[in-house]
Amino acid sequence: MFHNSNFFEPGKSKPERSFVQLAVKQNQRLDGRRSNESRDVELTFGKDWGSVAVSMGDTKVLAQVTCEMGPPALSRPNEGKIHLNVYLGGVAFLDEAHTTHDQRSLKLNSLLERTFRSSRSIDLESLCVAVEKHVWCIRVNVNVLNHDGNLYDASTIATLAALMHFRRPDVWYKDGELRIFKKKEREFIPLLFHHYPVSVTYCVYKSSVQPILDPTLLEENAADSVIVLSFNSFQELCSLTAGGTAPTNARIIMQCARNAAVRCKSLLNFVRKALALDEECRSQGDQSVDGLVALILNTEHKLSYNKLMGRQKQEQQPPPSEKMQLDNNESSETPVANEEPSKEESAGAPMDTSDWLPHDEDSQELPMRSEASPSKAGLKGKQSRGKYKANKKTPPRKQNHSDSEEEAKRYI
Amino acid sequence: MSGKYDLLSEQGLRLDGRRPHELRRIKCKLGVFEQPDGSAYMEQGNTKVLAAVYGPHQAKGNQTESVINCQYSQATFSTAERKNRPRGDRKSLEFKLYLQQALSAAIKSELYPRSQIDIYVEVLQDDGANYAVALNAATLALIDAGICLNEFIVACTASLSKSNIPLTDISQFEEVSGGPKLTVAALPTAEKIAFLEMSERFHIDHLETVIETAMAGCREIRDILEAAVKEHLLHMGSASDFAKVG
Repeated sequence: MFHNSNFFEPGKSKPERSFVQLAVKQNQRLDGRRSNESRDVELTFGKDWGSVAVSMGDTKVLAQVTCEMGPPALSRPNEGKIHLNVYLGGVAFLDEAHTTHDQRSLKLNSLLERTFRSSRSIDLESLCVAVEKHVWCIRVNVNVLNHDGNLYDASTIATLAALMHFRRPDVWYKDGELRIFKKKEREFIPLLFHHYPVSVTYCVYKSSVQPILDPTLLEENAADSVIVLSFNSFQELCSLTAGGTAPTNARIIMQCARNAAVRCKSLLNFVRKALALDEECRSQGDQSVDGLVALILNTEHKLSYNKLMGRQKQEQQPPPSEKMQLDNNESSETPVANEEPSKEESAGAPMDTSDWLPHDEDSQELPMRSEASPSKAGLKGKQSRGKYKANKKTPPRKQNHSDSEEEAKRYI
Repeated sequence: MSGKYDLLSEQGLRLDGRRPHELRRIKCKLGVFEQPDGSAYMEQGNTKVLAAVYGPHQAKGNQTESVINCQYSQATFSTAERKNRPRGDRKSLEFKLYLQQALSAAIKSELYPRSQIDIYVEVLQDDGANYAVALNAATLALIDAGICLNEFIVACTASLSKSNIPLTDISQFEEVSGGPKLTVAALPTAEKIAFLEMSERFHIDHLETVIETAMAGCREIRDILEAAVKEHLLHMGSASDFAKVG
């Protein structure tokens, strides 16, 4: 999984730099991407609210949001607080100086502060319970698991997805008496947003006029300038940082800004779709939520940017196979005689309909079997598959009873 | 955009009586200290900055390339509320990195291998645009030290009023009022941008206008700094009697 196991940071030596610059001069990149092509973004949600892991190639970032009740700041008594912390503890290279490590963490932290706090993306006044007494304090902890360049984008997407995914407890306050409800008593409440900022990173080289989108660590270290832009869905610029060892043009910065605005919009759509899918998955029951284990497994349920946005493009041009899937999903609306058996199948849980399809079974079985290594996750995968196989043989009426029995067993 | 106050009145004047494109008054002086190799003092409005340069001297450790070491600190009495930590907090470390980034783009580092250039910047009074004035003072100090630069590197800030008119060289009140703040460190003759930083929020359509406004401010500041350097050279030359050189 983590291929970047070098002890020395790539891109620091002169031969590596000159090689990358020559490749960029010929409009090529080391991993075969084009200059305006990004790595695939994958979102993995944890079991708890506000826990998200983001993968961009080999760059992996985990964001966790927690909240607590506390007194407000003296200067702003009617606003809640938000703290953004970035930890690069596990990511270090042997030849890296301690100051370099601190600088990297500092730059990342200041970018997140400017993107989320200075642009006022979260409504902090809605987090106030009692003026000068009780306000919510939101804390976002961003852990960098692996560093292969472009930490800015991964951290921003992780922070945004975590804040959008997070739910806080409901509060009752009357006559100076404060009561915080638990999960069983009342439903948790999501945070209020004014807008949703996402950042995009470009690298600029002297040898080429074309900026490079989503650089790897090798490309980042070999670059002359790094431009980080944050936009929201209204094409408003939230933060901008451009700088490096060589100066750049205002024209290049404007070109990067226009391209970044389009990409931020599609990234936001991806995050929204991923959150909607996760919400749909949770509403069917907690057992279907993989949690952060899916970060390690290569399951079909991973929420990747290419899949979701690619599916959107395919839906615009409806091929016949997509039509079949759409018809299956909308079988309750279309009373066609041919689809009556599919109705009976869909009478159960929607997850079971996907299991009944033979194509999904074949695609699902192969990666799980390949990963049947002596690990607990693999064992769990085997057990869950066996149960699904047993479900198919029983008739639909008894299937409900067997489901309830299995659920009872799981609880016991 | 989202500020409570309109930074520009109906007659087109700002709160301190300037037009949108006008800079605050700039006073600068080179060679204020004898002990450093180069030093400069600069006032831009009420923002006062001292800069000192030591070096190029021998670097610690065995490094092949030149090292530019910056230190940014803000006096405890520089702001309205007294600061507890003049240096070492997150903001000053951030400014230190940005200063280092911009100055490394301007200094001809290939002329100083295995050397170290130390630049110390102290903000005596804070009235907005601290980074820009600090960078301008550091540039003057480097020139006073005789370090070879590609060009003057100057910085300027720009903002956007409620009616989307770009403003140049914003003060502390205009910064705090919630308008966007763009800081550009540029090499004006080459039309290059060495550092660009922006916070708060505005639409992308205004970005080009605001950058161009900041670049115009940089060109104006460059002329002022060049006049100060010429005056300083004339003063030093007359003190050491031009005839002896000839």
